[in-house]
Amino acid sequence: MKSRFYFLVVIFGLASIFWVAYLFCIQILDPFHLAGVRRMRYTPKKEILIPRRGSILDSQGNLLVSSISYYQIDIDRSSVAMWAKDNNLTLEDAFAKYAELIAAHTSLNKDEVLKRLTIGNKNTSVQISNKISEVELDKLIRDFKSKEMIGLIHSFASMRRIYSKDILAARVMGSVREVSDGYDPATHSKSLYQLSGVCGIESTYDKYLSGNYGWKEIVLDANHRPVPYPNLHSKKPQNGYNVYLTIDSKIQEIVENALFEGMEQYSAKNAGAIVMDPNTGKIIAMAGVSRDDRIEDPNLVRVKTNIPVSFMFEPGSTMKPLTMLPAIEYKLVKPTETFQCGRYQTGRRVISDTHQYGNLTPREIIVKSSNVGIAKIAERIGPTRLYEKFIALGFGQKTALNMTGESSGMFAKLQNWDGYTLHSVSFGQGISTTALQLATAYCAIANGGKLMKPIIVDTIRDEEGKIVEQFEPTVLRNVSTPAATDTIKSYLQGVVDNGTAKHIKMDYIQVGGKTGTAQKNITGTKGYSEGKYSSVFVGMFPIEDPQMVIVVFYDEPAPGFHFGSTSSAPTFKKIVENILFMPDCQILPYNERLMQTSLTMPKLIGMHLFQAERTLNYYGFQYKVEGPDSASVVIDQYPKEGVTVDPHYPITLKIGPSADKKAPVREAGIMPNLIGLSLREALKQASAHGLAINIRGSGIVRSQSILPGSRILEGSKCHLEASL
Amino acid sequence: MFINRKKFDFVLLTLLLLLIIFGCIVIFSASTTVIAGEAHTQNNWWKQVIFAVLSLLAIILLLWIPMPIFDLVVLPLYLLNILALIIVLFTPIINGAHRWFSVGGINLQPSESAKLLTILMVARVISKENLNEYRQILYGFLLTLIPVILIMIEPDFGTTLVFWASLIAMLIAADVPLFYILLCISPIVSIISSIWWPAIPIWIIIFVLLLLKARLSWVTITVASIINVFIALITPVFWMGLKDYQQNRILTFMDPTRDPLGAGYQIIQAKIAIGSGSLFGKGWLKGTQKNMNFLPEHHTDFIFSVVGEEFGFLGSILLLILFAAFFSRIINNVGELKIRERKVASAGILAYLMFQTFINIGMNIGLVPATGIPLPLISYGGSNLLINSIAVGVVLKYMNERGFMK
Repeated sequence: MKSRFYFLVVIFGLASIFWVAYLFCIQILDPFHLAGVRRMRYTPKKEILIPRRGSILDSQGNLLVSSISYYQIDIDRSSVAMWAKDNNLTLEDAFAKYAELIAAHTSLNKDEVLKRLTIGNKNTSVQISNKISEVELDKLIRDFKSKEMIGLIHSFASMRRIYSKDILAARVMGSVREVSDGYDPATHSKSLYQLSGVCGIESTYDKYLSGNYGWKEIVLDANHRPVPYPNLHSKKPQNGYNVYLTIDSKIQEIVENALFEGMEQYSAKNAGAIVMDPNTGKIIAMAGVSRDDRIEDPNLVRVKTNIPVSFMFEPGSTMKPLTMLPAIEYKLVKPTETFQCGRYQTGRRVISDTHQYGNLTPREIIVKSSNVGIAKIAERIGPTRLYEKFIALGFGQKTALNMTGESSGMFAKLQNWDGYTLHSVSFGQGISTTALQLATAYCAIANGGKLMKPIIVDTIRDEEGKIVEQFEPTVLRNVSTPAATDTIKSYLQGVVDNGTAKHIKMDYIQVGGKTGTAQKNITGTKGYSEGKYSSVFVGMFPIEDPQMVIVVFYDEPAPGFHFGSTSSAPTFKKIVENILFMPDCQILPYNERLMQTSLTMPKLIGMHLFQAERTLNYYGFQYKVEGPDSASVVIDQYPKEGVTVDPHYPITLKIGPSADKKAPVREAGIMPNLIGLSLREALKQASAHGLAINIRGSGIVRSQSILPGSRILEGSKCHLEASL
Repeated sequence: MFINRKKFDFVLLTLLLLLIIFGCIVIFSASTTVIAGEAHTQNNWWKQVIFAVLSLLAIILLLWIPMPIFDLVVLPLYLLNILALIIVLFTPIINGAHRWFSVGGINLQPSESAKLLTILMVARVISKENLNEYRQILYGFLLTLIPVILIMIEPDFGTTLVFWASLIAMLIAADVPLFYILLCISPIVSIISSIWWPAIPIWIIIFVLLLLKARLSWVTITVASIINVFIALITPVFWMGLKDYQQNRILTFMDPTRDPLGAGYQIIQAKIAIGSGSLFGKGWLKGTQKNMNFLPEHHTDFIFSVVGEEFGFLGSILLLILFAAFFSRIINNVGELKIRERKVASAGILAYLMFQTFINIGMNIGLVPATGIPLPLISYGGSNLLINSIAVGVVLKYMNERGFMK
């Protein structure tokens, strides 16, 4: 028996030796490179961090376009099961707890979350939402950590552009698209998410807006949870730079409103306008609108052409002052000289005026817009000099604005000019321009002969507000002398004072301008279409020292409104009036009184409205009146009597039947959700709810101290945190 | 004092204590997670220490009980245990099986005590003088089959293998001729040999030679060989008849790397852990494979991987040497014991502990499929440690009270 027993023991002993030998093999000899597998596992992986696309702001620092990132959250349900076991809960209870927590911090509904959590195989991860904002995610992570709940997986999902001013300057801003074929040379990572500009500013300044990817090293454990491993490196993503435009959104709004109104009134197809500062070349407003823009999906409008820089039209009579410029400059005409106008035959072509004017001086040619007169002057200038002047003024070439989709206009080369071209071009036929080109050329007249480089971006700043790049006003070339341009300016003033645009004359400011009407060229031919016109008006004000040059044009306005004087000129007037009556407008000389730093409020309560208005007008206050139409006694005023006020601050007068009644106290309401709104919009909403607001930062509201949906009392204080 | 100083095996007790202490040290590491200097220990460790103390108390109690009482309680306890195995099937499912009684936060496994009691019961029955070989095999087989069936219903496949291993050892110790045992296990070897066809003739030749050596009749040898050849040849045909997923399940069982994220995952991770330990290991508490949760069940079935990872080859060899000394001591004791029942029982206990150790370590280094058999005396598990200690205690008791007659 013993020998058999030992036989068995020997077999086991031999097997044990084999076990030890194998152990030696895998531990010491390591033929499977297991140590290598392990090393690989603990080598940190690089996780790419997506930078936030920069914002676009106007010249006053108001936010126009900004970005918000959305995150995806998943719940690893095997972790939930583990958590449930640790806390002696059933799986259902655990899911309910998770759903409750998620619903508490996000806009998701609890039942919805619970439904997602209990779908399908309960051992896998499940996506809860991919529309979680940064703030919501932060709160979620914090709460999960404090409650020691596990299984929350979050990752970057997408980025959206937020348009604080909705459709304002939509075509100038352009739009973005999501691309996932980005490449980061620093980490050699492909297929990265980014927003890429498609058109407009978004596309032109994409390089600055898009930012640089960052990365962080992560080590994941077996459950794909990050391990707090020591000595992990990371590189912060460089968020996109913020682009500060030269556009003033208030003026932009004025211009767009005027265009929309005008387009409706004149049933035009398209309309465009540019407001430019002739001294610096800054574009203060640039608007192009089509008939359907206000009813169409804003995202579709954003990808449409930017009309002021890409839409070409024949400038018509607005070319006449530019033709006159070399004649004055080279002293080819005398101011007192007269030209026989009315009808003029050159070769087989007959040029005619709409009215029989008889003999006209150069000034009268511009003022009355005589085709014959300007054609005769053009003959005196000669093709070469006129061509050179027009080229110098920037026609037939792209301006230096460098915007996506800009067109160069059409201006035939000198060697291609035929017998008619000289005459045609002199009164703006046979030449196409964009509104931008026209505005740039007129700027040169307005500022004394310097052709300015048009600029739409003032500065590019990083997140902290440090300037990365500044676009200084640049003189491209001198195209004329101040003496010549002053003469032209006086002619332009004449147009408004007693010429074709005398109906828009304003008695408080001297304005110069020129109307233009042109039949539309049929694309691809030399012919003109019947009944299709474009009407243009180019103006500048104040004419003594122009601060703004405005080009307004309508494409295919209804018959009767197709003249520059009947459609574009009134719109120009509306724009000018609105700009001048802006609270902080510094153009009007008598606004100087308003520029005083502070005024003391007079007592208005108890006055008749008529008296109060007179008092306020005397001081130059801006004010508005609230109350029933029938009432006429001032019962309340904001600010109160004796308070020192900023004169630009709008004053509110309350009128009512008697002085005793107080305004009803607003009832307690529900806290609105302000997150994601621009500060201005948030303030508007908060004041509607009678909330006191305390703001930190600027830009878009990122968090609010009172949670949305809470009941609030009037006068509650809410802290807002905002960032770009 | 109930300890007989001349007869008591102090060496075995010392080795047992060393193994238990070693186990506690490793379990402390296995239940501690250290990442970036932050340590987090689960309460497993305390439970194990408490059970270690309980085990020692149980051994003392066992030594103190008079031998007649001990002999008397084996049968009632065996029957009670069978009853417990039946009742446990009606408990709620924990981790996918009806395996545990939950009493005050501690889970008790009746299948653990069934191992020891079955060994003692079988040893008693097959050691009777008047039994022939067939009856010995038959009774042993039947007594083992009852708990095995009940445990397989739970279901717990791995544990049942232990019963067969100890049964074979006991039959050998009870002087049942080897060729009977050989005949019993030959069909299983035939099935395994059919995986690689050259193995079939080699196995058949060895089989025939072994039977010849046992001086069996030509008829028996021929019939046994033909049946085995038939089984070996029919297995591939049967294999082809299986559906794909059935084949996959069996193949994964035999080669875990086929399914690296499923059943094979644990074994691969354990192998990486051991392999990355190399000569000196990473140091106590510093196993990264363990700390980052890649190693599953690292305080129970895969505790040896933690040893391999943190103490390296030297540590593993130290543990193996401890085990070798421990088992050689028991083997020595089996030879010393003269009463047949006690000898058989000790052989059963030896096989029971040795088989578990052998399979568990093989599983950790990736030579044996994952079966869910813990490492005796080292793995975390209260009832497991208790029963294993009592099993050693039984051997100690036999040694303490051995006479010089028969």
